[in-house]
Amino acid sequence: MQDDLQAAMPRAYIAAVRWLGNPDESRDACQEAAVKAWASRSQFDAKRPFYPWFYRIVRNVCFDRLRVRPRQVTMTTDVVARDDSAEDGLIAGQRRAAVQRAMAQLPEPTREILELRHFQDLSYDEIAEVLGCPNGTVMSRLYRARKALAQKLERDPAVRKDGGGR
Amino acid sequence: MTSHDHEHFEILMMKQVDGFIDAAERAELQAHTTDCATCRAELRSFTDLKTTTDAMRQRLLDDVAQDPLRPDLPTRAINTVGFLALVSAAVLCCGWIGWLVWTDPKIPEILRVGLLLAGGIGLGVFLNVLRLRLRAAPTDPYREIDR
Ligand SMILES: [Zn+2]
Repeated sequence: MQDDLQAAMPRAYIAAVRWLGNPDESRDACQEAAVKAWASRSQFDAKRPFYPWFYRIVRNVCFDRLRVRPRQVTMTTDVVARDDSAEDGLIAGQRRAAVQRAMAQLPEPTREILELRHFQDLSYDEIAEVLGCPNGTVMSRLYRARKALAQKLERDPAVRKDGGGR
Repeated sequence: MTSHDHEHFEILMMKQVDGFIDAAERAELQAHTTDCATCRAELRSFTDLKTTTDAMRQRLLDDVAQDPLRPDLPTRAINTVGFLALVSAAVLCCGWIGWLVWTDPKIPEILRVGLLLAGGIGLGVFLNVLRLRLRAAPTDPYREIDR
């Protein structure tokens, strides 16, 4: 379990920083989640994959932190979509920022399945495990979520001019 | 123009974007997207999206790789053993001193009782503080981060 936790930390950090925005608080949240997972390790079923179980703990820790926080600071776009224009071109940086804005506008369940696939890099089976739904449902929900995100993105003025809107 | 089993191709598109598609499915999707402009446009927007989020994810991975996170777990098993060893040593030591004091005929009896009582209380307080400190230290989530 200790090795599993160690291996899970980079991914857990991504989950935390995507929900919380602040890197220091995200590191903190990961430590808190690791301690919680360790304390309840007897509840973990070793026959099941480790990460989906741990992810749910990370998620709960983050959502507890978000709950006690004013609404405005929940999204700090700069951390997750910094615009390092010099590094890899203006368009790519603007697009990352636009994707971040569009994701922030999505309802939570829609955003979460996108987080799980695009940022947590979970397989369909692992997503099914986290969401507690059948494997087949994952793909159709993912399709709807991606479509919703693409539509939000089309309406973003920064993307419209190079993507040829609607 | 779009009289096809849309749901079937939606799923194939997901598999294609996520790299979970097999050769037969890929060929089927490819054949379809050459004819169907709707699916072709959707597939392209999904692929672009994945490229962008992959770059975003990679940047976050780079950030955390610069300063790796190590789970700071409470090492309770070791603490318990260490704590028991400390307690036994302290009790043996105090017992020995106590026995020396108690059997020393040169010390008046009232002083002997007083000394032992004070020693006992002192030992109890010391052990309790030690126990609390040992328990608190490894679970303090701020320990790593404050440095
Ligand atoms: Zn089609």
